[in-house]
Amino acid sequence: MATERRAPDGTAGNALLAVIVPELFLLSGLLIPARMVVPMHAAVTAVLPVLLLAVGSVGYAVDRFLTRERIPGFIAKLREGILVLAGSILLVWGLLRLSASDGRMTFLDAASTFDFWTVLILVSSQWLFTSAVYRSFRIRSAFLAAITRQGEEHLAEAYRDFADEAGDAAAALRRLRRMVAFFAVWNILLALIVEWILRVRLGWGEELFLALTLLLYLIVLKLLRDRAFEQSLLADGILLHDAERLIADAGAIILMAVSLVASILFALLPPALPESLIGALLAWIGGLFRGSPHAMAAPPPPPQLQPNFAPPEALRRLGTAMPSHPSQFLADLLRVLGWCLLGALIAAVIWLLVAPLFRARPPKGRLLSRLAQSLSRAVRGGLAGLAAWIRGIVSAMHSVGDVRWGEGRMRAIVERASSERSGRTGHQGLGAGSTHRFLRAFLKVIRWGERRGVAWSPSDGPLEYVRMVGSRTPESLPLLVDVALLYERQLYSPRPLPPEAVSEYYQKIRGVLRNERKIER
Amino acid sequence: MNEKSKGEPDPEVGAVSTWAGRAIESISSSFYGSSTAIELALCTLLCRGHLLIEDVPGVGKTILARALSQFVGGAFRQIQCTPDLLPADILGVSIFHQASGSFRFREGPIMTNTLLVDEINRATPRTQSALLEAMAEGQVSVESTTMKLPDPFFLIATQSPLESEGTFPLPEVQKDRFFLSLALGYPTREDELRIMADPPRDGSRAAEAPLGQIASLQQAVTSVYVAEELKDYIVELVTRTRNEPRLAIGVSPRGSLALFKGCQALAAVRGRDYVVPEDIKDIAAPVLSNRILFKPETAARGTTPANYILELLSSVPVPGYER
Repeated sequence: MATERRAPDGTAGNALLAVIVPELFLLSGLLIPARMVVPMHAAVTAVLPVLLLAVGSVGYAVDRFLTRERIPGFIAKLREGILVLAGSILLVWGLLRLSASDGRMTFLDAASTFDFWTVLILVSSQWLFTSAVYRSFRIRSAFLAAITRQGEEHLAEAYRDFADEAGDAAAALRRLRRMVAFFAVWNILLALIVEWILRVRLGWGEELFLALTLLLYLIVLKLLRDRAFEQSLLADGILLHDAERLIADAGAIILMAVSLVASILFALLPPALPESLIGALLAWIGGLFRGSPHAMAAPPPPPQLQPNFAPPEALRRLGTAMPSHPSQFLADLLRVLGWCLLGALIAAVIWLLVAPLFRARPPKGRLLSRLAQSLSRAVRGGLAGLAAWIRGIVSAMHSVGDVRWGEGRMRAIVERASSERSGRTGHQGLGAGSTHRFLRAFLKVIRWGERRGVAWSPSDGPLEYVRMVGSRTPESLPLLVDVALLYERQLYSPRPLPPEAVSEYYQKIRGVLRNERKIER
Repeated sequence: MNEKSKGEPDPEVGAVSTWAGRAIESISSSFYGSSTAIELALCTLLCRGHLLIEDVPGVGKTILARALSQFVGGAFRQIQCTPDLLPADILGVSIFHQASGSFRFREGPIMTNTLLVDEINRATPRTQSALLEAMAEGQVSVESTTMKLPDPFFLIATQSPLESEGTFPLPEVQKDRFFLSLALGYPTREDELRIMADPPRDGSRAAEAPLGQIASLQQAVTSVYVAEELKDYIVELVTRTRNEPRLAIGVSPRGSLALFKGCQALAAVRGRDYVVPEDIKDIAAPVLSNRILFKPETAARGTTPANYILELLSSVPVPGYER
């Protein structure tokens, strides 16, 4: 009977997309247009706050769109509206300032002319950045749900029913983080070497500083996102499938490899070549990565090409006269195209950020009662939003002191569960870590049984399930029954298992798993 | 089935297990059926409940009841139900005593420790309902006099679900009074051969367990520990029957209490002083199936209560894995 149950399928093959799509969206949708419009000679310190603001806004907007977030309450709507408006104005203003600076503006210039705006840009960008990071795990689950055409609840249920345990998922994510760190170190070392060769020895521009800074920023963003995702998995008890985990790891490797190749190309692309078809093509390709064939200081750009310029000037030049140099034409075209793309992106982001303010269910009933309902909802929502905002601030203030906030939170959850159980039963159980290990060990037995062809269902009792498995592998039945009895005693008895019984439990599980290897041989 | 857990249980619960082990051994010598049926019958006794054995004729219903009563000891009476059986034939009647010139009450067969009511659905509803007070309250009221029944009082009723002519189906209220309803099923091939080789006989053996021990065993069963998660599990099972659109009547609170007590007793019989999910699942169908009523359209489709309970058990997650 149990063998008729089947594992949910159709989720594992798409996990690669679920990992890559958000990253590609960020890279191709934002960074490339931004790179096309921002002058190469603009100082890193001036570019970075604007890019932080842009990246944070995009992440936040996509998150809201995918999770169908609705801002409840008048106060919350007002607060969000002001922030979106201010953030959008700052973003556009920052980009225009950069574009018009013709590569000469630095952070100090901006700070000395208008200190308040600079500070506001930094503060807003940090706020958006933090929000995007701590909510980004929802993007992944929403992407996964969208790609597999399954609801998030269904996926969570599927994971819980037929999946690896949270501990293994956490281990997989730890491996992922190690890989990311490894590639990050590799990239940084490579960038430093190239930077030293190109900048110090050959006297090239400071764009590698920008590349390095952006790379570091993306690494930090990714690390934080993985951290948030892992903690959410553990906190919600959502489990990750083995195959999916492997594919996710493969996705991360591919991403890192692509990032490495892009870094090398970025660093090694030659400057604008003399007039020729091949030169124009290379300049165009180079422009995709570098924004302008004039980015490099050496060798010097052809004299007929204009330096960095503002978009209206490029548009006027494109509309009035054919430039004498094909690279000039391509550079102008790219600049205008980049601005169009970026303009569309900013408009979409603003729309996505504003949409939740109006995403409300239409009230039912007559006009007066509808008005009353709206008012009441606005007041209640406002109060709730205000309370949530204050709670969020207080909670953030508490968590600031704890660098390892995620681990602390998880430990607290497990300890609370353990103490509740101890309080109920009047006995001290295993420690939090040991309990987790104890449960994980039995889940290994379940996976072992599934490999023998007996699907597990949440409605199966531990002893009931091992008996079903035992009917397939009679030689393992005594061990399996002993393991299940010990597991049930730990879970449902008022007295915890003594240490020797716990050792016996692990020993018997190892015995069961060794049997598998014997059978395979 | 009787798999003792590792580790020593509470001594009182250990006594229950020892007693149950001897009971199963003793009853198995005359009843060649599944030990689960014997376990469940013992649970009924340990929970101070009453047992309804419902199956086709000739599968050993009466033999099981007799063997059980012989093991338990105490007074044993049997009533063979017929349509002309009257309540007075069960409860007793006042007879005029000529010598003293007064009426004297002559107690009926219900004044016993173990009462076997054979083919209960052949008795009229009036006679069936005469058993209600005895089953629920442990007493009988005759002619404005209330009399306590002996302790323990254990009623075992049998009925065949197939026959319809000359029978009166038990009303729902009376079915609910039975702690559990047991279907024995046909014996296995090995048991069948054993029956032919050594036909079961109704021996008149002496009681194998002191009657006074039953009360302490019944008390010991109530100390079996049930984890909070498993209590929630029981409530979830029962609640789902109440919200099931195919059912006209879901399980009553008496049903959930019976399931709670039943799994405690089954755990004790199996040698544990704590309940595990399998105890609940093993006893759920016998306890709950006589406490639900299908809507006519569902009943017409041939769904049986036992099948419905099994379907229910396979849809409710067992607590424990998610922690």
